[in-house]
Amino acid sequence: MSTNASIIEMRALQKWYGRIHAVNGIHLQVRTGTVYGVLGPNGSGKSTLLRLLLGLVRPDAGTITLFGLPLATHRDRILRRVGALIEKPDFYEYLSAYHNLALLGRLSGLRLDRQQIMASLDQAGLAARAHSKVKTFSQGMRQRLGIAQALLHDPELLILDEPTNGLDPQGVADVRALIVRLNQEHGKTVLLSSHLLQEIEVVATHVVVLHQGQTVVEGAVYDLLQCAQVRVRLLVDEPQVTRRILAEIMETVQVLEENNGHFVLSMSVEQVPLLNRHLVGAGVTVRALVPMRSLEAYFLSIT
Amino acid sequence: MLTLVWIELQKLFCRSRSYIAFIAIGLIVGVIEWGLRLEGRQVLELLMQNLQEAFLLQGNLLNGYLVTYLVLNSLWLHVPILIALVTGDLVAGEAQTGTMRLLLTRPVGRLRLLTAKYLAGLLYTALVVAFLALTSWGMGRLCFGTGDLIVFYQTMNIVPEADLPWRFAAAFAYGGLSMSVVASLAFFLSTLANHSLGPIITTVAILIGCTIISTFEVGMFRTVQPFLFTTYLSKWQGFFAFEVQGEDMGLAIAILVGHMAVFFGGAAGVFLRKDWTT
Repeated sequence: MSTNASIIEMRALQKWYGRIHAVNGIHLQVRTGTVYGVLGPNGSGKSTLLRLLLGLVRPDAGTITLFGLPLATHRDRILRRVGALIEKPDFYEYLSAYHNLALLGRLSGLRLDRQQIMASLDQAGLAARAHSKVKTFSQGMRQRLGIAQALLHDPELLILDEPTNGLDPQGVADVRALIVRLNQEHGKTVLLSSHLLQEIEVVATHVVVLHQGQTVVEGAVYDLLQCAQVRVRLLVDEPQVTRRILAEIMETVQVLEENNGHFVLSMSVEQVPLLNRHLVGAGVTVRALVPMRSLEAYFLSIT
Repeated sequence: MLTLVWIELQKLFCRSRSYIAFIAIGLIVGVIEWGLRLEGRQVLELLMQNLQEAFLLQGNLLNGYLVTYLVLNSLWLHVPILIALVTGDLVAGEAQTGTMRLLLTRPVGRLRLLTAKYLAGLLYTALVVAFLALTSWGMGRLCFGTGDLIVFYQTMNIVPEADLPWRFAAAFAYGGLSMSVVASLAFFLSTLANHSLGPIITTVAILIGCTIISTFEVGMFRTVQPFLFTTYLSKWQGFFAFEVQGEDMGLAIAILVGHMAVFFGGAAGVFLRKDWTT
C-alpha cells in the first residue's frame, strides 16, 4: 500500500448514546504510514471514535472503511490487520502473561510457538514474569502487556487508546520511542488518542482535534504548530531598546510580561527569527530567545 | 469453531469458580449417602410399614439405585444454582472485567464467539450432570449395593434391577437437557448485563418464581404452566414409570429444546447489536 493511500476513511459518522450525541458527523482520513493523534477534552468522542473503528460500537449513520474495505461487511478481514489497545488493558487475571498471549494469538488465527510468545514478552520487558499471573502485575506491566498483545500478529495498523497510561517516566519514553520506531522502521500506521498533548506533539505526525463529537481541526502537527501563536521567553541586556523595537517595528507581538530584561511574548512562529534579526541588528545582546511551542496552547485556543 | 470452544473451556476451567459445582455436588452426595448409611434403613422401614402389611417385600431395598434416585430428587433443585453461577458469568463476567473488549478486537465474528461461549457453557453443564451421575450412582452402588428400585411415581412402581441402567441413563440425559435450559436462560441474561451477579441472581429468581407457578394447581397458573420450562424440570421421573410415556416425554423434550433455542436466539439478538462501551 502506498504512503498516499488512506488506511482509514470515515464519512459523516454519527453515534448517539441515548440523548448524548457522542460523534457528530465526523469525516476523517488517515493516510498509510502516519502517526495520527486524536486529541480532545473528556467527552469529546475520542474513545467512541476508536471503538467505532474496531466495531465495538456501531455507527448510527455514516461509513467506515479500513484498508479500502467497509468495516460493516469485512470486520474479520480488517481486524486481522489491526492491533488495538483500548482504554485500560484488561486481561484474564487468573492466567499468566504467557497464557494470555497464547490465547489471544490463537484468537487471531495464529499458532504461536513458545519462542514467539517469549520474544513478544521480551520486547515488552516482561520475559522474567512470563509465567506470573496477570493479577500480580502492576498497571505499568499490564500496559506493556497490552502493547505486546496489540503487536502479537504483526498488524499494519495500530489503534492505541492512551498507550502510556500508568507507565513510569522511563516506560513512557520507551513506549513513545517504540511507537516512533514501529512507524519509521516498520512502516506501521498508528492511530492514537491521548490526554497528554505533549505526547501527541512528540509522537504524532498528524492530529485531529475533537470537541463535542465534532472535528475542530485536522492536519499535520507541524502545519498546525506553524499557525499557532507561541509564547517566547526573551532575555536581553538592553530592555529599553528591545521595548522600542517591539513597539515600533513588531507591533503585532504581544508583551505578556516584562521584568528586568526578561520578556514573555506572544507571537507567531514566523516572527521569532525576524525578532532576533531586528534585536541583533540594533545591537541588543540576546542572551536567550526560547519559543515555548506547544500544542497545548493551540489546543486550548481552539476548544 | 472447535478452537474457540477449546479456548473458552480452557478459560472456564482455569477459574476456581468453575469447581464450586463439583465440590458442592461431591459434598452434598457424600453427606446424603452418609446420612442414609447411618439411619436410612430405619427411615425406609417406617415408610414401608403400611406396605409390608399387604406385601411381602424381600431383598436389598435400600440399595445404590434408591440412593441415586433420592439424590436426584434433592439435587435438581440445587444444581441449577451451581450451573447459573458459571453460565451467568460467561458474557457478563467478561464485560465486567473488560476482557470482552479484548476478544472483540480480534478477528472473530461476534456470532462465532457467542456460539463458542454457549457451547462451552453447555459442555460445562453436561460435565456437572455427568459428575452428579457418577458420584451418586458410583458411590451409591459402592456403599449400598444393588437391587430392585421401589419408586412412587403416580403409583408405586417396582423397577427390576436389569431395567435400571437405561432408565437412569435416560433420566440423567433428560436432567442434562433440563439443566441446559437453565444454563441457556442464565447465558441469555448474561448478554444483557455488564456484571455477572445480576444474571446469576435473576436466573435463580426466575427459577424460583416459575417453579412456584409450575407447582401450584391454581386456575390462572394452570394456563401458563405448559409454557414454563420449570414444569418439565422434574419430568425425568417419567423414566421410572411402569411404562414410560414416550409421547409425553418427547413433548417435554421438544419444549425444553424450544426454550433453549429461544434463549440462545435472544442472546444472539442482544449480543450482535450490543455496543461495548465498558
